[in-house]
Amino acid sequence: MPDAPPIVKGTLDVLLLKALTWTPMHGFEITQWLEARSGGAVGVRDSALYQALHRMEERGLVSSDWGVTANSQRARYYKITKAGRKWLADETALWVRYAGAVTDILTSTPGKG
Amino acid sequence: MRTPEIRPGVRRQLRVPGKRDPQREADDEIRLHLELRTRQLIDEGMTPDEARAEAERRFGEVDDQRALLIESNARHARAARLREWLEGLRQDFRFAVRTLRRDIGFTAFAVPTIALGIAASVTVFSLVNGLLLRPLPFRDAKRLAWISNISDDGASEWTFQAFHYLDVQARNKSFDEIAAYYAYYSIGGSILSDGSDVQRFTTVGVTCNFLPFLGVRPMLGRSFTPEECRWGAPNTVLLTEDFWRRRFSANKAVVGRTITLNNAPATIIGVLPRTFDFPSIFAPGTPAEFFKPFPVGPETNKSGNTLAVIGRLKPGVSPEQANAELSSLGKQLTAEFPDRNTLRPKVVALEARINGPFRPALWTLAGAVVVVMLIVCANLSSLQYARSLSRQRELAVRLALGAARSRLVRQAFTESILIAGAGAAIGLAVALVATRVVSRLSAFKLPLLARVAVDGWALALAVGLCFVVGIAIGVLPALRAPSDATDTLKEGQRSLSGDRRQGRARASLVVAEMAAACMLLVGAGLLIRSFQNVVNQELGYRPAHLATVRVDPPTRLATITESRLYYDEVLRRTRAVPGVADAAIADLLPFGGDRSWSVHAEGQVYRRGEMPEAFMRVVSGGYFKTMGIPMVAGRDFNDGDANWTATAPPVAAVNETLARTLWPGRSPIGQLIFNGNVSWRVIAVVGDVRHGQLERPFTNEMYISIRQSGFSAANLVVRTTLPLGEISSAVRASLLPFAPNLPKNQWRSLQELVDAVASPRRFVMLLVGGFAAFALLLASLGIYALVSYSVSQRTREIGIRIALGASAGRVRSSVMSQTVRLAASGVALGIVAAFLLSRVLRGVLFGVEATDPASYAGALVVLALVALAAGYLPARRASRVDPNIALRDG
Repeated sequence: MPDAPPIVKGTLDVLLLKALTWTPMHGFEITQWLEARSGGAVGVRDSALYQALHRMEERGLVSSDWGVTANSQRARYYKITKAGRKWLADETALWVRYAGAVTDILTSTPGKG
Repeated sequence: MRTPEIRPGVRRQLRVPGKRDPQREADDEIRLHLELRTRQLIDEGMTPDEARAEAERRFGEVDDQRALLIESNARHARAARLREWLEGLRQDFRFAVRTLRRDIGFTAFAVPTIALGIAASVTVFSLVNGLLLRPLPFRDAKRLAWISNISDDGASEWTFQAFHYLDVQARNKSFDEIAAYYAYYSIGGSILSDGSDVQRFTTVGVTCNFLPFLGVRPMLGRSFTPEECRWGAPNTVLLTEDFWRRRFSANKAVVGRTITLNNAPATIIGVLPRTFDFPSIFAPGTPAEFFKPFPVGPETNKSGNTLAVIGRLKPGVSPEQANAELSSLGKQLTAEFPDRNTLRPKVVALEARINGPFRPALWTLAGAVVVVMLIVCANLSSLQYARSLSRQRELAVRLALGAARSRLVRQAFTESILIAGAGAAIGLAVALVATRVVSRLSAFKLPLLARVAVDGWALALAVGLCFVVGIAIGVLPALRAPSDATDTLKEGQRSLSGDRRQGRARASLVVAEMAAACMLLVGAGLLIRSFQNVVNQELGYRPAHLATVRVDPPTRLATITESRLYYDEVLRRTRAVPGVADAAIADLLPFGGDRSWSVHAEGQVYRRGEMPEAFMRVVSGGYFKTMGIPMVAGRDFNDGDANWTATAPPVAAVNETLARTLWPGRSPIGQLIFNGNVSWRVIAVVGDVRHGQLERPFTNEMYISIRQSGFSAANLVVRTTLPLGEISSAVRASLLPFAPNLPKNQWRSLQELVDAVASPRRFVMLLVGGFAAFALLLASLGIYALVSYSVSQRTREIGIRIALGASAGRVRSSVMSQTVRLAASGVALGIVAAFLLSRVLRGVLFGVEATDPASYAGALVVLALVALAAGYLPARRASRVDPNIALRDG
């Protein structure tokens, strides 16, 4: 699979949190989830993903724990925290408003309105 | 999507907290990712090598990423450790609370004990801090010095004459600046009249630079201008903040207003802030409502020594250096100006001057409190230790179940610090109340007492003590925490060597308690004996049934004839009141002020500066009889003492000491006594009276008649069996028709005045006595607990002895011998320590040596009796052991 187009700046954190609202996952699972959800439209640099997860862990938005995968491999599972859910809800609302406004502007045609 | 078999949430419950390794975690995380990515790429058709390369390419700079992840893992691990530690602490805390609630008896004893100890410590510390440690509330307070003028006989400290003040100001090299206040301002000497409302207040005269010199700025208005400080300038006054709030309802418009003070107009030019509390430093226990300028010039020079002088030392100049310089300057000025009073300046640091007299008492209290805290710690440490022994099995079980020994140790400390914390919280609350009460004891007349309060330092002390006490009482149990579970569990309850070790540790704690209690008892004994000596001092008069009130004329009387009429009438009316046995008037009562004059007999020539000093009192006829001062020779003042001539001078009475000083071996009756060029004919010799401090020996005293002098302060003294309230209204009712504007003044008993003088000493004595009683209680409980414990441990042995025929008496005495050993070692140690430390007390003792055998013997007897009583109960229990039961159950 070729590299997906780069992600819009500042949206990585929300996307990761959104992924974790489904279930706790380890890093690779999250990339799989994002690729599957977006049909390949959203690509995350693997390294950026881990940096983001660790950053959010320090901010208390996610927590991590070591577990074992179905194939008995040691893996670090990330889980969204209460604070993470709150932050995600706020950011989502903001993003929807912003994206709506941008979309309106970009899809308006000159001469009308 | 793969799901782990065990959800992380569940896993956390089972996790055994292990060491987190940031590096390994980063490696694991990266490795797993690369592995899974590679496999995915292989599944999509790449060769293993290609897939691996592609996975790494997508991951970016693996090494850089790894470093970043390690760093964030490390941060994370630190935070997790802290959380875990806090969580452990929370568990310990909850466990400790549970334990203490279960053992409510111990808690109910330990917490109040610590609370008392900490309350005493914090209160005494606040006193020491407020009175001794904190700098005076003035600008550059550390450099301020008190400059007095030593009296001719070297015994007392005088004030400065105005011209000397000006010359010292101009010529000295040691001080940046000097300032002064008029030392003889009269308490209640300012009559503020506002229509029919007439009240007495106190005005302090200060030199023009006095307030700026101390760094005091009016909160409203301004300070005095040089013009206002000149002789004859229109009157101006500054108000104190409290008075302004009380009397003028904090009305800012009073600045500029003119009031009537002593029948003359005076303009209010400002209000001084509350932070400037003049009386609390210079005249404790007295009021001060007004400040006015005191002009320093030829007019005030005539009044002789009047100025109390303060100077600010130049940086780097010590009081001693300044003292040396001013001494020679004094000699020089005295020689240069023969018409002035002698000048013998003496310089001491202002702080030393203000708190010097009561330093020994406060340090005594501080020492006593330290000893009390030591006893508290020893007592609870020993109790806590005993408790920990009975919990060895429980601890061993926890150890066996996997608790780390460090956790058990921490648990021990958590528990003891928790107890100490509860005690400290209560103690602090008590100290807050206690300092409030003490700071308002105006009877004490201690400088700066009003600023005594629990401040940040006192708070820090309480917190610090909480930890010190917590650690002190937790350390023995912590050391006893078992290191090996199986041993403790196998051994059961009994370990002979352990018993002996613990017995020794507890015994030394009890001995230490006894020793400390003994020290406090000796100290209290010495203080009690000093106090008795002081209050048993011969006063020279009989204060019982004497009551007094100020009856100064409400308006200034123009002539001596007028004032004579006024006083005669006051006395006539008062003596007519039913219930009044005797009445008289004096301008100053004993302990009421220390005005003194230089006096000499006719024809006696003293070298300048060697003239005797005598306390001077202006009294009415009947004063000696009313006060119960014995008339040794001659006659009382009477109504015949009126106008005088050059050949028939006014009359005076002298006390026995002054009679001996001026006319040794002769009768003073009929002799002339001189103050400067003014003379009086001596008509009486009366008994000595203690006019200054109770601790000082009798000094020279002279009395002149109020009918022959212009002094206008007047204390009415009444001998009566009526209570104060009744005599107050009866006398007032009889005086009002004649003096309708008489201010309503407070009646006081003379005994009150005497008690007030002894009150600081009584305070220290009661506190140390209280500490000693508390110490005694703790020490006796310590003995009781230890002996009881050892009896309970030996029940089986005692049972065998009784079964073998030992009598109850034998058993009792064998148990008592343990008590006696403990008490004897404690007392021996305590007496030696008290003896070594008693030098500290010397400053507060009166009429008793620091090595007073009676105090030591008293402490010994009290301690011995209490110890025996404490040991007797367990001894009696031991003698009643039933051998059948003891041998069956033991």
